[in-house]
Amino acid sequence: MDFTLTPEQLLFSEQVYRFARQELADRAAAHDSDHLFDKLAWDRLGQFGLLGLHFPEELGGCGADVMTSVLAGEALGRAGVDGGLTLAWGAHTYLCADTIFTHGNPDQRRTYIPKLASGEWIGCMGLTEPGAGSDVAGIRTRALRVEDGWLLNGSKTFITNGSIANLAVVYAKTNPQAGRMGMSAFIVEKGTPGFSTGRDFQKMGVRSSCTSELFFEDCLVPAENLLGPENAGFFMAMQTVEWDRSTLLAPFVGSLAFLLERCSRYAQQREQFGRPIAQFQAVKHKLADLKICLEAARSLVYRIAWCKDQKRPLNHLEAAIAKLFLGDWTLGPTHDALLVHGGYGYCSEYEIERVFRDGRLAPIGGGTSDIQKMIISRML
Amino acid sequence: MPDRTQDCRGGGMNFDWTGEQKQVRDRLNAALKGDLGAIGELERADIEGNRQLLLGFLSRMADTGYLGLGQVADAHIDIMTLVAARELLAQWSGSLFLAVEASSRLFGTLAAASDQEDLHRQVLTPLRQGKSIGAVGMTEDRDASDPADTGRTVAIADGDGYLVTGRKPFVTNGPIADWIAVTADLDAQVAVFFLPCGHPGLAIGPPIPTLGFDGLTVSSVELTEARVSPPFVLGPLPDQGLLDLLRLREDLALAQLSVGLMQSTFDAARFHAKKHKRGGKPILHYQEIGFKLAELLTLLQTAQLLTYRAAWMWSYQAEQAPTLVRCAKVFAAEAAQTVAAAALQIGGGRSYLADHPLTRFYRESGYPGLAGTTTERCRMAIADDMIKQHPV
Repeated sequence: MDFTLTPEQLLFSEQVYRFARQELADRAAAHDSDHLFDKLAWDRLGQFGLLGLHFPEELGGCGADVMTSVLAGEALGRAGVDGGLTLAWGAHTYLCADTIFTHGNPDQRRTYIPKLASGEWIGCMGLTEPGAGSDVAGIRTRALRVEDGWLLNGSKTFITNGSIANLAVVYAKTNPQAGRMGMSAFIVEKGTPGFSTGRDFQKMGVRSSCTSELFFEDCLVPAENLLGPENAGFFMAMQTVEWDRSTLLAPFVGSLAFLLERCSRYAQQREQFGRPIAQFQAVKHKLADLKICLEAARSLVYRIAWCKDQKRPLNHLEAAIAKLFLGDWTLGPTHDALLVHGGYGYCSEYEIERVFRDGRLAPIGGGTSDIQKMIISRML
Repeated sequence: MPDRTQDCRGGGMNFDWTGEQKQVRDRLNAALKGDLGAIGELERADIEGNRQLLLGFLSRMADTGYLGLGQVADAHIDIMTLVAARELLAQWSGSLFLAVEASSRLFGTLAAASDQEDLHRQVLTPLRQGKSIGAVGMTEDRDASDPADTGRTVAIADGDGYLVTGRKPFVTNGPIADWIAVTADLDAQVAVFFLPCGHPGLAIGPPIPTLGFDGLTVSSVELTEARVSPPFVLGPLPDQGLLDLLRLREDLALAQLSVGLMQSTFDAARFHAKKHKRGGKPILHYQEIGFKLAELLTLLQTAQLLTYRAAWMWSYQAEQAPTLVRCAKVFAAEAAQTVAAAALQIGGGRSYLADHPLTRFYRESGYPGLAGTTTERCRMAIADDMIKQHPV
């Protein structure tokens, strides 16, 4: 048992933190308030190398391990980068680009990964449908084999980056009778006839990310855009779960550190009854709970990342536990952070309410807390 | 921003026990695994029977190397070995866990801190061989911050020795100990006095019934001008350092006790939920039960990982280690109570019967939070640390 980080991992994490403080964090409030994707921040993420962190250098990445990716995500959250930008980062890099990298053929990798790793292209993943979310095998988008490719029909919803993406990894049924064994993945580029996007949803949090609908109406996708083996889509979709439960959780861990830092400072400055509120036990209790929650969450997420770095198959039980804890057990301390700030916490300029809103995605996105409990209880 | 360079001090991230860390655990498992029934007997034995059972377990643990772990000043080096092994004991029996912690770790560390050969020969050697039982009397019935508060245990120099007078209301292992170490004020400093059981002026009170841990013996200890010669005195201690260290080690042990309790509780509740059928299927398959168990396992695994991480930080003497130990103690102790209460509910009417393990775990789960550093004090210390780490 050993929790050592390498000096390189720690150094990189600090670099990401400083970069994010200086180049990204101050832009969050305005884009959150306007429900606006921050293209400039995105380009900066790309220039820094964060959009292709774990890809090999010859494909435009940095060759980082999963633990480094987790530390980078944590550093973004800790720096106060909003959940919208980190969600866009996660969906692009891990749900879209990594699926192409992991399952794509050399041509597909060469064509797409460098553009995605630099941020020149934005990617999204189309899995969820109006009638199928957690029940992945229940998707109804259909891909029909035709002479010159695949004909896609159907719609997707809640797609992060959907309306701004240059490319989507889309899951569709290729053999509707075969249930989960009849799903395949396709690379669909923006501008493909028959592919359109609908409105962006107005959301409680993560507002600087676009959440859109995708429509496919007799959309002809070239045969070479089939991603991975035919009918292997379910397992590819499930593999993205490994990222959902590690790197995508990391910004939530970081935001607990952000709240802890903000609360610790604010409580020393804010005076009531003639003394800083940091001297009241009720406030100190909340600071302690934030710290306990942060350290507990860290241990869980690092474990998933380490296992992935060891090339172990995902331990679904441990992964679901990490996701469930990050989703449900962080609500109390996040609420406490709001209370420590009182009326100011309720106002946007203190950023606490934004972190609170953004954090509420944790028990929903990538499988709700109930789904995690279902996974765990089935393995007991 | 707290300094995290301490996170780089180990030998490489690894969420498995290494062979080296597991050595003592494996030996302990081999020595005692077949005796879980006898360990259960501790809960029902009378005082003499309890003592004999405990001595039997101690002598077999002695061969595994378990008893000597964590006693010496640089004990942090083998802390992960201790943590790996101690986890087993915490699952087998909280009573045995606490009795061994009081004897080997608490008493043993104080004895090992002395440089007196007589003390080492007469006290420490038989202790490490599992041939004697130690107890420590530290807690007193007083407000330690109030100098006017009487009730302090005091020692005064008398001839070539010391006379110790005072009362310690709760001494774990008191009724069965061969040696008792008590803290007392000596010239406004704290010193530790080692007394053999039956020593003139040392009176052991009757066993005190407690809510849980029926196999653990506790009593008061009364000292009336009990004479102690210099080789059996540790100190006066220059500061609170050693006692604070002991307290923190106890907190880590209590976090582990909580995790062990949770494991036993969870296993019992899961066993019941898989076996007990309603509506033609095991109750585990109802979301009201299955999802509750999922939450309990989440608490258990989170507490366990956090405790490992705290112990690991300590093993590298990281500046943040005390804070992490307190975090682990608070989280694990409170999680144990949640798990025990929910497991009782899952167990239904049968688990409410007095001899049911889930009832026992429920009674025991109240202890880790109030023992050692209370969760309240832990939280205040954690918060103080956060305020210090984040200057305005």
